[in-house]
Amino acid sequence: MKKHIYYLIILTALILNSCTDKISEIFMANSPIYMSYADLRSAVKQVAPQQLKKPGKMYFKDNYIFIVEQMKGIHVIDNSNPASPQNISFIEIPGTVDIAIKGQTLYTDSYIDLVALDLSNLTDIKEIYRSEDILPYILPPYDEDYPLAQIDEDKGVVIGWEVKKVKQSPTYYYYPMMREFATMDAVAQGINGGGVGVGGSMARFGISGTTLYIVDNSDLHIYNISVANSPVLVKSNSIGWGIETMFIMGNHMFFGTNNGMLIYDISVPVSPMYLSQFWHVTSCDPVVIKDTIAYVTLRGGNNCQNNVNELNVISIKDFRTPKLIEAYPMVGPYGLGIDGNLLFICDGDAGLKVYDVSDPLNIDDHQIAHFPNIFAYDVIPLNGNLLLIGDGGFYQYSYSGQSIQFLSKIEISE
Amino acid sequence: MKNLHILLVLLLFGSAVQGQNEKSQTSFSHKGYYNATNFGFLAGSIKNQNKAPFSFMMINGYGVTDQIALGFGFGAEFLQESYLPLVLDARYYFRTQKLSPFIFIQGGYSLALDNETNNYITYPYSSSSLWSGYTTLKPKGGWLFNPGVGIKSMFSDNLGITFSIAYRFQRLNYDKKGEEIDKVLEIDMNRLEIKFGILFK
Repeated sequence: MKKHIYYLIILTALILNSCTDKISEIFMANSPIYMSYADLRSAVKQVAPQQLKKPGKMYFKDNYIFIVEQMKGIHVIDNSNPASPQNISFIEIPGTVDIAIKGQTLYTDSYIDLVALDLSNLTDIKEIYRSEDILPYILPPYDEDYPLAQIDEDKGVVIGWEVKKVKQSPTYYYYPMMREFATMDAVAQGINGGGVGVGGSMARFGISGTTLYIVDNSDLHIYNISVANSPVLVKSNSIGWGIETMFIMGNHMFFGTNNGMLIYDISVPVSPMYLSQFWHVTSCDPVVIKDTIAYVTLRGGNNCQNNVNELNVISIKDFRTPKLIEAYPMVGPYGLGIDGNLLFICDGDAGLKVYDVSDPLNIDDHQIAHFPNIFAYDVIPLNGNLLLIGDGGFYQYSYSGQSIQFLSKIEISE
Repeated sequence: MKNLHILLVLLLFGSAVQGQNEKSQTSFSHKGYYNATNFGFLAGSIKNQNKAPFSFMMINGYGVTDQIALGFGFGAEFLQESYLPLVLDARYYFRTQKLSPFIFIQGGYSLALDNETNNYITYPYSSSSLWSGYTTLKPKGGWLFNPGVGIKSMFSDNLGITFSIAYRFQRLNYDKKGEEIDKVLEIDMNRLEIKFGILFK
């Protein structure tokens, strides 16, 4: 009898334990559309040219320009004649955001993978290397009027969203990384020989010698690319949260973070050594450097949760003790570029501004041009040719001294 | 536990009384009007927010044969909010005697008696429609399903007691207060319904 009572108690406990309430939420949400990992890894291919729709970072290489179509692929533009650039093909690469080029090899991201493409024949660009699952899981832009439905990373990468009614349990789960896709970038370098790309002011990919650096929000991934078609991941280091951009100059690497600028010594390429940090207001901070001066734009009113908009001029004579020497108010600056004494700033709604920075303490007195109608994200001033990406399209100007002339524009289709 | 003891004593007492009566009355017909008033609770896992809410139900019905009865019931339940359950009840008695096991099934809808609830507050992540400011929800009620087994013991031809155990499924829907949308929260309760009752015939 006693035994039966024990059995009854155990049975009752089991039944009661299984009697759990299930709570579900039902609401309109951005429901993810997935691409399987298998499809992602067989998706890279070169196709006919396509119109620019959401251009991102760009890379100048010989007479060609590579422009990232955010999350979709890369446009290949023949820029032999800057007054009449020709869109010649498109490389489909799902999830691409950043690019860097060394010699005949283009490195880019494809969602969570690093991909290398062979550019030796621009009519037959092929994938030659892929490092799987090395980058953070990222999400494409979504309708901010609705929350995100839960994401199952096992199903693949998210390539889009469908706003619909979803039903899901309100459980905690890891939240994937968001990228600020409004930001754009420009990088430039010659294509021939062993030329190494120079990261633009908002790059996350950078190359120094035979080392490829890729930075995500918190980690720095270091690849040895001595053999172009077989990069070797040397290590991944955590360098702190909030990394926005990367800039390499000589033996120094600069990270624009959302609360300051980090300076590393990369004399030993695979072992970056922290030198210093320059704290300033929380913002999004593209950086360019000329000689011993770093120019940093702080932009507020965005993910960086600040309302400060200004250009900071920082002396880096001693990399261990950077000093703010001047700050100039701006409207909402994005990227910037410098060539000689000409500093080009994409100042959000205020348009493109050009300054003479021969006197860094009086830059605002030396604005030499202002294009209020050009909403630009980033610029590359390169040997008298100014490449610029903005809302309206991809622009080219020639500049010499104080004269800047419009050359051409590739429209962005709506 | 104390209630269970009392119930067992009553059932045994009922059985004893029936044993004495069986000499004179060997069969008992369930035909005709009956009223079954039940009290109990809806037990569940300790993980549930409301672990064992009280439940009351009154069934009025009619025995259509010696063993089958159909009825309509209403009651009161104090779940996350107060509800008025309305059910159709069908039951089958295995024996035509005063002491008989039975099975039953109930289905219906619970009407919400409260106009709003603050029981479900925001979830601290952005993958939710329940942001800060949407902590007040309007309960809308929901359907229920309740199959179970029990035992009945009659003290006399007109009065008896019952004890029953059932599986209870209860859906509860909630809207955002003041917003014209279908629903934002849905709770499916899976409970073990344990009740005893008084049977009038």
